[in-house]
Amino acid sequence: MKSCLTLLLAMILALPAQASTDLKPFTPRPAPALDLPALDGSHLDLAKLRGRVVLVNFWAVWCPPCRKEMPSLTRLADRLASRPFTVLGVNVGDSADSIRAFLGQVPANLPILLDAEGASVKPWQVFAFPTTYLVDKKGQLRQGLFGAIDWDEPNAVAHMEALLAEPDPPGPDAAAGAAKSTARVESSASGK
Amino acid sequence: MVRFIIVLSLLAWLISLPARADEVALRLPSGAEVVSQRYPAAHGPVLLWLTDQSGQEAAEQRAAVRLAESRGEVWLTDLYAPWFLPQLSSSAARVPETDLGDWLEAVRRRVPDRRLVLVAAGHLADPALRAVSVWQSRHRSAAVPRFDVVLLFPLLYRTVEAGSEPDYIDAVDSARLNVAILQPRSAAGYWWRERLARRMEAAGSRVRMTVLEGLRDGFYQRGDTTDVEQAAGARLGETIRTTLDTLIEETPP
Repeated sequence: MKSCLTLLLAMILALPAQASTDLKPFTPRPAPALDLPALDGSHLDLAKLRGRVVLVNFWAVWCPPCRKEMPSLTRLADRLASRPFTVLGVNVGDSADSIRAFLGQVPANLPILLDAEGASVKPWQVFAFPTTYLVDKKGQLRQGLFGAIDWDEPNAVAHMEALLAEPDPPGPDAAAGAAKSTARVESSASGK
Repeated sequence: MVRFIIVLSLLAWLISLPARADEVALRLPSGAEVVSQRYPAAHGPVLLWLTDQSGQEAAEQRAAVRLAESRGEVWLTDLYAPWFLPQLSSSAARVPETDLGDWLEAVRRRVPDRRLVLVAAGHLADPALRAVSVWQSRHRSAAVPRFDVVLLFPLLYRTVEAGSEPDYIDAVDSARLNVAILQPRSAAGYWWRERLARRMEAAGSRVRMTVLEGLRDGFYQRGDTTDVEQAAGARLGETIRTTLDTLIEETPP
């Protein structure tokens, strides 16, 4: 009971009063640039993931709701591993050591990108943690969410499925880019 | 000689006792009664410390005792109880504006010769700024000075939705403040602190920003405090006193 109250208070403090419970649809618009080093030493550029649906999750080690949703984000990445789908965990402000310590407790099979100086916070309008965006195959921002949810929920998975069902963007460049970035994501997927 | 030593010891013991709180109840024209726990001090400013949804925190009470001993009087004020508001962060925006102005007016009447400083944390920054804004709008004809305010991890957004830039409450643009902001480093507000400072300065406020390393929003009232946060919570009184010293030294009344 005490731990439930503790978690509840921590979540209330970490989030704005209006934390959402579901992804909010946007009028499609180009996603801001996201070009960051990864925890495993590689580098990831969102623009090179064209042709894939990308879930971009901004999180921090100090944020209890972020920590709470990491396992279900990991399971979501596993569940859709055979599809053109990528989950990116953009850590804002923490040191690599503290991220590694956290991932030692809560392993995550997704690329962890490092934004130590918060360069992505303004263009991506991250006003609370966690903040999550869905980017479609054309590189357009389609949905967003402030707050943590359970990514195992069928309702949450349905949002990805809907975007995955959309046609691939035209042109050989996009397809080639998607294939290349699949390999790249796999190479940096451990994040450990 | 023995009697003198006994009297001296007694005096030393009395001085070492923590400040005892009593209650100040102010009835407003609306009928609401705002009750404050008063930690008396004969000198220095009066700190009107708005308590948050968790009620009066032990850390705030300890800090109030320390501040009353060393810097000025503290009124710990529960702003939800007079209007029977639920203990939710969203209640901060529901405290009636007219009553906030009336309350500040009543405090001024009660302590006319003392400098007032508002202290508020988190969502309570909202009613703090609205109180100042209403009070200043009523005294526009006089040369109204900037109001002294200390804000801990202020949350002043109107609404927050993914994909859009949230706006601040109107009082950010209308209150003229001499404000010290204590912003934890491990918080979303840290990345937007300059945006808030610029907005307040554009309204004529003077803003001093202090970043609190290794701390999160609500660091002294969380259920999952770290050792660093517990230590910072124990030093809350000193932190506010130092902040206050700078705020007041730089802007004499």
